Amino acid sequence: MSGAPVELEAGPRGLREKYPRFPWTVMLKIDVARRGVRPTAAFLERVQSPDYDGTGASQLLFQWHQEEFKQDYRVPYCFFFRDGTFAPIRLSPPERRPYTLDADGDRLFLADADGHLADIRIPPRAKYYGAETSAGRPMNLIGYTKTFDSVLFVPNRYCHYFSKQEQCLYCDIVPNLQLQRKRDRQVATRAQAREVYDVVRWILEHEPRRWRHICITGGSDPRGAVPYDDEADHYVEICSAVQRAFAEVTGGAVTRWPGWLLCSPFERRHMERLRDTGVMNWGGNIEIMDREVFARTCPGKAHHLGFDRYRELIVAAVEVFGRGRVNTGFVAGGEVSPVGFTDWEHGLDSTLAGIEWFAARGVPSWSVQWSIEPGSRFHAMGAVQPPLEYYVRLYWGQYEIMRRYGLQMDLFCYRDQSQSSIDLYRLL
Amino acid sequence: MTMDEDLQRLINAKGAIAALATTGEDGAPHVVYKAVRALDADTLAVPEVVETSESGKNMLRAVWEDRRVAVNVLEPATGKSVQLKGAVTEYVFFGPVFEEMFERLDPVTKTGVAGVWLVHVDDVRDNSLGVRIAAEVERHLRVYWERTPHFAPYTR
Repeated sequence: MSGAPVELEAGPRGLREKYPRFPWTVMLKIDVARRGVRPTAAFLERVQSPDYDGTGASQLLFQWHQEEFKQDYRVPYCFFFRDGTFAPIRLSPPERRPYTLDADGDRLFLADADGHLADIRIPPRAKYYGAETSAGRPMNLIGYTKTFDSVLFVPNRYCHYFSKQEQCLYCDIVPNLQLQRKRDRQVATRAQAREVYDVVRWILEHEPRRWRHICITGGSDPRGAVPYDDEADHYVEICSAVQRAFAEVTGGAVTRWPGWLLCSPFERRHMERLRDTGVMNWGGNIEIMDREVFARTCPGKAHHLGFDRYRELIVAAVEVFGRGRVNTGFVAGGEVSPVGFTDWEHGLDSTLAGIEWFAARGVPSWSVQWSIEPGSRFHAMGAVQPPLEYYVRLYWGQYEIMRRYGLQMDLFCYRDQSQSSIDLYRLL
Repeated sequence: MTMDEDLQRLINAKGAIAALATTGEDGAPHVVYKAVRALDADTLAVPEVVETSESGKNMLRAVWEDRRVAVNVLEPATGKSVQLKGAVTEYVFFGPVFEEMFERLDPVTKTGVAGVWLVHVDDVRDNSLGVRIAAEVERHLRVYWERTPHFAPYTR
């Protein structure tokens, strides 16, 4: 599934015949993430029901939308196709040719200019959303669920790279935090370990065996005697709180828990401390697979660790957590940004080579599909994403590499991700 | 309508045993026992406890690659056996079908249910031994009569 030049304007309908082995819903998902969506009035009216989760992902992490979300209505974070494939709801301006989210009575569906594409489903609101932490904050500001078995914690909403103007160029985490505050939307900038404990304890006690994944991530914090000491200490505290909740609810039977901690790569002593908190899966994001493009795209990461050290620490974590339980993420498409490769073929080759470099060392990779959010520097540069076919070839190539190396992302939940390579991993 | 009310009752009976047959990437068959349920005249619900299981991957492959799956349901007390074939149309992990399956199975398995595959049944075949023997006898005798009509009076 490679070799042919990338087509500039081909949409899913046009590429379906060219890539018959590529799942149709995954192809739709990629393009939905790329071009974004516009909801109709009928769709919006339907999803304002309190039965749906209207918190919106932008209240927890990045804005995700490709235009500033100033509306007062609720927009769910995602929808699902009938095969369980997740798709993000990223509002986009008309010039990006967004897809349409529409409703016909109770039936919700995705459409393009040529009409109906697929029926979709919106997940219901989680039960714990009505509860409060011991600090009196709504639990949904501490733990967010995009699906029905996975809860996401973002204990630190602030990324310290922004303090010195060293933020990654695709990132809007701090501008989004400011936007949410300005819009008077409830956000928790920093969650206390006790509150994370409260949420985990609630879901384990009230809905046993329904929750299978816990993901913890947030902004980077390079402060400390040794860079990133402060961030490591914070995550040890958070993960220990989760471990305590599991241990207490199960009478000590469970001390290792199905969690995925995604943060900066630390020195080995911190990694061992984290492993001892029982979290079973750790990930550190290289973001861009090429050394020079990485340095231009992620100045904070390049300054504090550098490309080689970043990769070295990720690979070293395999000895601590085990093969398949350490992974790295990248921004799919970010390699062909205004500071990246000008030739898409070179971008593809470089990224696939980087994926293979990690795979050969026992590290599976995953990717978040690049979203050009208004608060990011790439947005200010007028960046545009590569075409759909670029992603089809990238994700299929990534899947083939994982197959070749016998790798899988252990304990990872495909249901709550806007990345399409992981959907193909469902077959691994 | 492919599954009449009697058949739905048989599938949903407490003692019924159901085996799900899927195919892997290389076409090799894979068979596992599942607590399937008939939802209506055309739809079977197949629970998935572990999504990364071989059958889970094969069910997904069936959706993505238009492959068919089969379920054989056995009523042990009578030996009645019915084979159902169809297409996997949906995987649900929230909503009433999922909730019903979770509430029904979790107390038994203590593992919860990750999701539920929906299969649109379009082919039903009674595989009970007596029925199959009768069918085969009928088929072969008819051939025999057709080819050797002068013996027909003796075989009736």
